[in-house]
Amino acid sequence: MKLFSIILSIFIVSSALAIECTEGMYPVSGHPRTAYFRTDGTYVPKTNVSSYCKKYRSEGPLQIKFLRKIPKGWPFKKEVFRKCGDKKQKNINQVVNTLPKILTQVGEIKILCAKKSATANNPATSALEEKIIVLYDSSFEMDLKRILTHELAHFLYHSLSTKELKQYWKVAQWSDFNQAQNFTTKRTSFSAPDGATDPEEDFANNVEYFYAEPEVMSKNFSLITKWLSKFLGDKQ
Amino acid sequence: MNWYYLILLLIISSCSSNQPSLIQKKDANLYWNILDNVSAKIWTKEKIKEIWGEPREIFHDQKQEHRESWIYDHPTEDYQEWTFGFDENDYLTFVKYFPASDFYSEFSLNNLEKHWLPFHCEHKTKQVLHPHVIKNLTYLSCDHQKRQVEYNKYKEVLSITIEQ
Repeated sequence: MKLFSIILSIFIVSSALAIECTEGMYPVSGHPRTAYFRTDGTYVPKTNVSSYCKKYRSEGPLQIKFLRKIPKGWPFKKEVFRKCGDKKQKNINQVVNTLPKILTQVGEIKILCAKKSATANNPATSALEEKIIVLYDSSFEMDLKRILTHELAHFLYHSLSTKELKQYWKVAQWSDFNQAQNFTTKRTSFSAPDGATDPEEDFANNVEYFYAEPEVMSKNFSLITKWLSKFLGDKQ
Repeated sequence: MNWYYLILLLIISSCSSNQPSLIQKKDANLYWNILDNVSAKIWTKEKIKEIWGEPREIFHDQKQEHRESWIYDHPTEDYQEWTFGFDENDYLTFVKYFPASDFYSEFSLNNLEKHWLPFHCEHKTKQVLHPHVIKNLTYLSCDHQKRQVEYNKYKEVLSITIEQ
């Protein structure tokens, strides 16, 4: 019977890998679904869900608009903004073209350049609802791909379904235990120290490391890496 | 016995032995009852335990003495579904509920607004500043902030929080 299960698993995996999806869709591997009751009381039995193509939660492919002026209502008043020069714009565009597709389904993003962040050692700031990314001068002396991956991972976190969010909290051991939005974790180790702040920062760091330092991620955070591989892996 | 039937029988028996036992459905009325009666002092640790069993995790809130938070996961989806907070007399004093897919439609934003019509609900936005992220939290605030529904930009309910 074990042999039968192995053959069945190979068949499911191979059929999942074989599936090809059109633009704007990504493949979801076949998986077993447990039984459950619908709200009207209907019993839905357990089954093996076949591989299928699912639409990205997409706001369209990423399009960059470079802005010069300080965005209205920007909270860090002392930051000095400037238009990104031609060289920087070219650099940003080149990097964006190499990013995984799942990170770039955010529609129009406004990018600004600024001299220095109000926060120490910060290469970039994102305003999620306004869809703004501010890149400080230091970011161009660092790994820009890594920085943009991290910033776009924040946008991705906000497009996760409630189910995906909860899956992440579970695998990364985050629990929400009181009235305020106040998460806690028993983990003592994070891919980057500020991941201890909250699940969103932890997620953005882990996505960044997943792409930039996959071996480090896999070695130190195997369960999170496994979940990210499943979630991001076939959405390149 | 024909070999074909024997193999078929083996497959069926193996499938049925691997089937996880289906946890008894807890109906929507019970969930509404808890959400609506947090301040009525009718729900205690004992009653919660009778229905949900032992919690997955217990937190002792350092800021408020004698307060405990019990965390329960969804029986089949396996991630956080409920947080129950108790006072020093073991009475329920707050609840945080994360609806899972079986109750998405029951506890939709629309249904919650209708259900809590007498509680004067308002949609609110709160700006949250992190060192390098600026974001807005959107929520439905009812009953002078005692009932809050947090939702995302797709209007999907993430959590329902009720306090006394």
